[in-house]
Amino acid sequence: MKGTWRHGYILLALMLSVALAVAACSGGDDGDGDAGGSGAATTTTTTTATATDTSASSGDTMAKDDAMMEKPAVVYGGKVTFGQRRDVRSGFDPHGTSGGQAQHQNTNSWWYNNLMSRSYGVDVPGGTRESFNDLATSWEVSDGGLTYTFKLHEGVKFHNRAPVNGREMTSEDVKWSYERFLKGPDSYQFQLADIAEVEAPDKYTVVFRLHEPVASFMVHVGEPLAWVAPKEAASSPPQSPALEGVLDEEFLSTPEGMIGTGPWMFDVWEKDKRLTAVRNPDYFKTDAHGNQLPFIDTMEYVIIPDTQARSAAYISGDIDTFGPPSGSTADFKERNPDSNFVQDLPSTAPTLNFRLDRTPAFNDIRVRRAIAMGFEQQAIMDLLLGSITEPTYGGVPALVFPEYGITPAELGDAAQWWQYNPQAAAALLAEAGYNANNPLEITYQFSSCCKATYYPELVADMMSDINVKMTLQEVDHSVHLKTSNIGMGDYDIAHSRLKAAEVDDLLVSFLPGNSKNNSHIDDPLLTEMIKAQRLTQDANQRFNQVRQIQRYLADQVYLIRIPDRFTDFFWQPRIKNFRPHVGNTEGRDWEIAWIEEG
Amino acid sequence: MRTYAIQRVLLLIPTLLVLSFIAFALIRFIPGDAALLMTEELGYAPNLEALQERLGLTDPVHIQYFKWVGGFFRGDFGRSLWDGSPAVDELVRRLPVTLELAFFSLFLSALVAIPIGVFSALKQDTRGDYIVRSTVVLADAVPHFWLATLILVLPAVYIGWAPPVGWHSLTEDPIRHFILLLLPAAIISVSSAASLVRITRTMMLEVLRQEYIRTAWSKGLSEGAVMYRHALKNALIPVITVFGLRVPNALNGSVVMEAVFGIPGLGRWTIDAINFRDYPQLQVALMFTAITVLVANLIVDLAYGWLDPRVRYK
Repeated sequence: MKGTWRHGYILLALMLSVALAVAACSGGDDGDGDAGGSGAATTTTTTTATATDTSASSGDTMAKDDAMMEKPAVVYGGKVTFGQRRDVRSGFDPHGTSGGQAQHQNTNSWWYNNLMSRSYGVDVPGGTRESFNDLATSWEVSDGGLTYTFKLHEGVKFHNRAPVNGREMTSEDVKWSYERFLKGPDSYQFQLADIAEVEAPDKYTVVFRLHEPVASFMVHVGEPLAWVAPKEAASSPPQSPALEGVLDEEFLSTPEGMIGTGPWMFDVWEKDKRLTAVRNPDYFKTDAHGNQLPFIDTMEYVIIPDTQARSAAYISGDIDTFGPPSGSTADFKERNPDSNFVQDLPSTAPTLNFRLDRTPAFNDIRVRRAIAMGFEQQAIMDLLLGSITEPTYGGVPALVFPEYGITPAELGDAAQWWQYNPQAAAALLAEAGYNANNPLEITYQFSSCCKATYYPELVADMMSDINVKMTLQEVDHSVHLKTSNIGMGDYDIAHSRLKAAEVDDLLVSFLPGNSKNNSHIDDPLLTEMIKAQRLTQDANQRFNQVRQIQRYLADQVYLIRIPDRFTDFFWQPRIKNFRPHVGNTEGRDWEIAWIEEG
Repeated sequence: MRTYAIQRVLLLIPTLLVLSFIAFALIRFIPGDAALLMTEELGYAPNLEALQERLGLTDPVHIQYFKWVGGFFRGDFGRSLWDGSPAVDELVRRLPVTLELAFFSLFLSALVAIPIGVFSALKQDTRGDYIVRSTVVLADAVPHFWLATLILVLPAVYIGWAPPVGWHSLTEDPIRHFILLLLPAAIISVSSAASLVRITRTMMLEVLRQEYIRTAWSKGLSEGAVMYRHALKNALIPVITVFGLRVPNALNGSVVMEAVFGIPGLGRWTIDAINFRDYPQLQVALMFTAITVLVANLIVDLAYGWLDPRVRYK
C-alpha cells in the first residue's frame, strides 16, 4: 500500500512541477516578434486615400503597378503551411477578439472581407496608411465629414455552404456586421466608436453617420475589425460562456460558422493540431490581368508551440513563414540566405507609465525630465541585434508612425530631456530634492511575461546612476493585467503596450478617463490640443497640430516610450508575388500569391 | 490474495480524495482567473464581475470544490471555462496520445536497456562495460527538453533538414504516425533506459553469483540456458519494479515532448489549462493522470503479491 500512496504523490509532484515550470516558461509572448500576421495595424494620415484613389476595382493594388508589365506566369495550386504557437481557445467568432491574443485573428482574413482593407500588394511598402477597397468599390464623404457613403461590389457571393449556400452579399450584411461589432466586447471597439448609425439604403450602398467628423475614420474602417459575415449567422446563444449575453450568435463561434466572402473556405479543424482552408472558386476578385484569385489551393496552420521547433520546421521547409524572436534575426538571415525577408513597422508602442495619481514626486516635472534624461535608449537598442529600431521622444514613436518622426532639432528646448545625460539628470533630480543621501525611491512593477521587451534590470541600473532607487516588483501576467496594465495597483512605474492603427489611437490615450491612460494624465491644455486634431480634416493642418502635441509631450515627459524593433518576417523562396504587411489582414497578402515548386 | 487485492483497491479511495483536493487547490494558488484573462487580455466580455459569476468563480471555494467532486462522482467532469465543451471529451481525445507516447517510450527503453544491461554484466569491468556505464551516467543526466532542442535544431542549422514535428493519428496514416512518434518517444526513453540498464546490470551480477546458477553450470547446461532461463528471468523481477516506477517519469517526459514536437496530448492540454486558468480542464487532466498512475501502481503491487507470496501474507 505504501507504494501506491508514494507513487501517486510522486506522480502529482512531478506532473505539477513540470507543468508549472513549462507553463511559466511559455507564458506570454510579449515581444516575441513572431510575426505570422499576429501583429497589428498601422495606418495613415488619411488624406492619402481619396475617393478617387479608391474607386478602382478590388485587386487594384496589383493593377496600378502591373498594368504596364508583361502578364506574369501565375501558378494555381499548392499549399502554404504556417507554424502557429497556440490554437484557438474560445471559438472563431470574428467580432470581439481583435485586441488580444485570440489566435484566429490571423485567419479571419482567409474567410472574410471587410469594406476596406489595410494596404497590400507586393509593391506596397509596409506601414502604408492607405485604406484599399475590399468589398467597397468607392466611397465619398459628405456633411462636413459626418457621413461616409460606400458603394459595394455587386455579385459578391458568400461561400457555398449551409445555411448561406452561396447567396449574394448585400449592404444588409455589412450593416448587420458593423452593428454586431459595435455592440460586442472588442477591446479595440473604440476605433469605430465614432459611428452613430449604419444605414443600408439600397442593396449595394452602405452609409455611416458619425457622432463627430473625426479625421481618422477612413483608416479605422480599413482595420481588421468588423468583418462582414452573413446575417443568417444570427441563431442560438454562443457556446462560450464568455460571449453569452454579449454576442448572441453561437454559429459564428464554430468552425462551420466561418462563412464569409473571402478567398478560402474552412475545411478541417483539429484542435491543437491543424486548421485547413481550401480555395473559394467563386471569389469575387481577379488580378490586374484578369486571373481569378486566389492562386493557392490550400492554406493550413499547424500548431508548433516551441519557437526552436518552428525555426527548425521552417529551415527544413515544413512551414512556409517564420518570424524570429527578438535578437536572432541577423543569425537567422545568415543561415537562410535564399529566404525572402522583410522588416515591417511595428504596430504597438511599448511604454513606461509614471503613476501621476499615486506618486507625488512625478507631479514635479523636474523628476519626470530627470528620469527621461537618465534613460539610456541606446543601451536597449543595442540589444535588438539585426533589427531596425529608433529612439523615441515622448508621445509618438517614429518606429510606429514614421510620418510623424521628429528630430531632436525639431523638438527645440524639449530635446534636452531625451538626450542621455546622467550627470544633468542627477543635477535636475537634486534640484527636486533627491540626491545620493536621499534617493528617489520608486517601485517598478513588471509582468513576468515581458522582461525581454522592457528590460527592468537594465532600467534599474540606469536609474541607480541618477540617484533613483528602483525596486523591481515582478508579478504574474494575470496580476499585471488586473493592475499595471490598466494603471491600477501598488507601484510607481509600470509598462504597458498600446496597439495603434492611427496616430490618434496613441494621442487619445493621454485624455483623462481613457481606458489606456495608465499614467492618469489630466492636462487641460493637452486635452484641448488632442481633441482639436481629431476633428481637423485638412491633412497639413492636422499634421502641424500633431507636431505641436509631440513637442508638448516631449517637454512634459508624461511617459517614456521604449525603443521597439521592426517586425521581422521570413518566407520560403518558392512563394511568389507575396509581400506580407503587418496587421491581421494576411488573407489579402496571400490571395495574390502563388507557389512555384522547384 | 483476494483480501490483499481488496485492501489495495479500497485504499485507493482516500488517496483519490486527497488527490482531488490537491488538484482543486493548486491551480487556485496561481493569481488571476479565466474571467480576468477573458476581459482584460482578450476583450471577450465587458464586465469582469458578471463574467466571474457566470463562470461560477464567485462561489466560495469549498462550494466550488464540493460541486466539482459531486459532479465527478456523477460522471460530470465539468466544462471548459473558455469554450464550454465537456472537459472529459477533450480528455478522451488526448489521453490515448499521451499514453501511447509514454508507453511506447517505455517499450523502447526496455528494448534497448535490457540487452545492454545483460551485456554489461557479462562483460563486467571490460572496456565495453566501462563505455556502457559512462554512457548511462550521461544519458541519465541529460534533460529531455535540451536533447529534443538539439536534435531539432542542429540538423536544421547544419544540413538544412529537421525531423518532422506534429501528429497524425494511427488510422489516418500509420507510417507517418510511427515516424512522428518515434523521435519524441526515443528521447523520453533515454533516461528510462539508463535506469533500466543500471538495474539490469546490477541484478544480473547479483544473480550470477547465486548458488543455483553455479549448480546450473555444474549440471552442464548451455550458456544460453543458464543466462536466459535461470539468471535473466530472476534478475528481471526488480527490473519490472523499476519499469513500473518509470511510468510517471514517462508521463512527465511527454508533457515536455508534446510542447516541443507539437503533439496534441494531455501534457500540452494541461499546460494550456494552467496558462488560461481553465480550472475544470486542469482538474480533469490531473485526476485522470493520477488515476492512471495509481492503477499502474496497483497492478505492480498486485503482481508482486502474485509473484511473491511473502508480500501478500505480510
